[in-house]
Amino acid sequence: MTVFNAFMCVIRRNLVTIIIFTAITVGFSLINFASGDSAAAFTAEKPGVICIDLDNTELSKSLVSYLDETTSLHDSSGSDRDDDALFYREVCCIITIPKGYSENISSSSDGGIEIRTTGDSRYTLVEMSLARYMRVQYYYTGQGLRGEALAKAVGESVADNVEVIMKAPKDSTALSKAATYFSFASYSITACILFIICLVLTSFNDRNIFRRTAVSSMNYNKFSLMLMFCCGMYALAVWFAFTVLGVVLCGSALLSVKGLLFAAGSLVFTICILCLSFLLSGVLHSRNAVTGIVNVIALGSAFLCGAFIPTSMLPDAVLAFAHVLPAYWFIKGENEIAAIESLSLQNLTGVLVCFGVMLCFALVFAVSGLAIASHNRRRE
Amino acid sequence: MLLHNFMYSLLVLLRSRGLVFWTIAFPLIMAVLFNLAMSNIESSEKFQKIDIAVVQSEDYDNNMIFKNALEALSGEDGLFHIKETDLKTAESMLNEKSITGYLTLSGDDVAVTVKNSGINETILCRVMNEIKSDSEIVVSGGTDVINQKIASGEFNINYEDIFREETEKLTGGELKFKDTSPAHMSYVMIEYYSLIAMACLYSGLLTIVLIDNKMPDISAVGKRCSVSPTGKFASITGSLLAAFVVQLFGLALLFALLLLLGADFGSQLLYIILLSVAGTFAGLTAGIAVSVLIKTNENAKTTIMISITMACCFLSGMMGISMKNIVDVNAPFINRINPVAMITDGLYALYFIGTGSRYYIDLASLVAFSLIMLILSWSRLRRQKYDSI
Repeated sequence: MTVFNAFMCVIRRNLVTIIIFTAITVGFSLINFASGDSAAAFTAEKPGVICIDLDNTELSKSLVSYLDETTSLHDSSGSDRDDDALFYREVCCIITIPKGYSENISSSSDGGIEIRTTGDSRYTLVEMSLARYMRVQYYYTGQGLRGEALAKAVGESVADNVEVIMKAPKDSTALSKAATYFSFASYSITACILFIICLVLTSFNDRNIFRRTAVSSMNYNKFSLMLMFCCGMYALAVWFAFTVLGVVLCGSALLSVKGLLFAAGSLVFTICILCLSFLLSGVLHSRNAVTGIVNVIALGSAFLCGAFIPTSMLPDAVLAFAHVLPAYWFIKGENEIAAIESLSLQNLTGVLVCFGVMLCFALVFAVSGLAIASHNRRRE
Repeated sequence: MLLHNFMYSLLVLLRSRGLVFWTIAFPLIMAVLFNLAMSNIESSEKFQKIDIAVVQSEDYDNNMIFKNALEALSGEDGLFHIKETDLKTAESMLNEKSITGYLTLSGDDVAVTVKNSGINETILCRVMNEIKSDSEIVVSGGTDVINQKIASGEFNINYEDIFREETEKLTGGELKFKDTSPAHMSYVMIEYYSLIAMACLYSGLLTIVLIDNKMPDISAVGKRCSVSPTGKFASITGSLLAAFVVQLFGLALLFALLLLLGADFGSQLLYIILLSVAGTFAGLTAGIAVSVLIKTNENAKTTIMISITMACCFLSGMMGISMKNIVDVNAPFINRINPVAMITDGLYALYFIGTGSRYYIDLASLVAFSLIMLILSWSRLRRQKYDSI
């Protein structure tokens, strides 16, 4: 109880710092989480597009209406704001229908349309759809159709009519959102646990306090065990908070066996980070060093392992290096859980391997931490 | 006296390993991390050919329009890598995610089987729709031509030529829209900009240490300084100048590293330097405000400053590039008072738009932010007098 009280005393003394740091990391996770609907049926991807109709005729309105069906049409909010939306990939292109478009389409198939684009794969889809519309319109113009009849004929011809079969597991979108949430949470969990535990243990490892404890009547092993227990309780509280937050944000998708797997993965990761914090607290002796190293480890892991950027976008060399970081195996495991279609030992092998590697990391950190603690004790 | 204070403040700052780490080493480490993580991000968003499979069947072998269309789409500049295979293999390829989807033909009807609702899946479905509707248009148009010929008494009809002509009318000729895309579209630059902004704000850590050394209720050095005959203005200005010099040195190193890593700062280097100097001043004054207004120990102040800076960086897009735009759209007020966003936005304006009102507004906002921080700090510091005996 004495150790627990001392632990709580250190926590209380650093309460403002702890609250600010925890609130910020939880806030990052919350803000980063974008809500979305889960779907078991195929829904066509609708890239964001801004369309500026300067012609404002029946034909141009018909084109805008087609774009509204096939894309996610955003309102134009002035050139500066439109350019921002393009730069930050909120939209993939800005389509300007020029004045005189209705007259242009009989002489040229492009109708004089101007496009500002990011040139990414979403634009390929928009360009394809637009080109299809313009070609059909040009064809019917050649057939002598004009005005309302032309718009109607084009509209009917470009309507989607192919059967699409979706072979996705139920709630796949919700599960992939859960995987995204836990991937980002890897940063928050790392920062929260490493920072606070290292901060507290650094206070206990202060030379004078360490010596005072060593010469006291308290059994040192019991003292260490109690300290570990307190740190473990704190780490569990952090894990529990992030899991509950995940359930609140991801909803029913996490109230399932897969939800349990997500939670189990984050628990194994939490244990791994807890062991890492024991190791670091044996090496770091000042609060400034703790803040610096924690930020480098948390942000470094997050950038290199795919917490901030999807792993599919990371270079191969970075991914190869990331294998030596626990966060990589955590994020890989969570993504694999989201992709599992049916629960069987064969399908779970990949996930279990990730959990196993994280436990190995935890073991290495714990053994190294104990060795350093023992060395520090002998030195004193 | 100002020079004396400046020299000693400089020594204090350079001898502190923690401060040197935060203001110089940490931004450099982050720059390397950004470069490693982001080096692939823009090429990965470009369109890559889509892998698909077609299930072999009698209907597929007999449907020449469909076969020809797929052949055209799998050429060198085409959209797809196509593999012809049986249903079982196609299903297992879809499960292994080695293909985006597979096509099955039943009569003239095409069915597309996919696993997700992504961009590639939508492209595949839309192309199949296009092939189907194009063939319907051609058949309908060709039939009209044939009927007209028969009605006009012309019975020597070459059906193949008619359908080829209709197909040419529909699909012939290259369609190229007028491209007015901006030249500078690399959004990885936002990461670098937010990093520069972060480095500017971290200068607050320098002033926290220096101002704490002037506060009699915080440190013993503060007590000594307060009872010395040095004026408050000379003492604080000397410290501020020293912090400014150290931070500018750190920023110069960061710029050099970013240039080495391939960052494109365009031709507006003077404006960038001007904004960085204003950003550094904002960071220094924010540090003074934290130091003066929050009554706690130096370590807690440092953590508060780092936490505030990280939160500001998060809202400016450092941990996800689109975040700045999301905040700008949904809660613009937040980024109007966020100094990191002011610096990031100013640098973005220079890169994307050029010097204009937006850049100057960001610059003025930074100056206003600095003045507010100084006024707040001064309001707390004035009237604190200690006798020198």
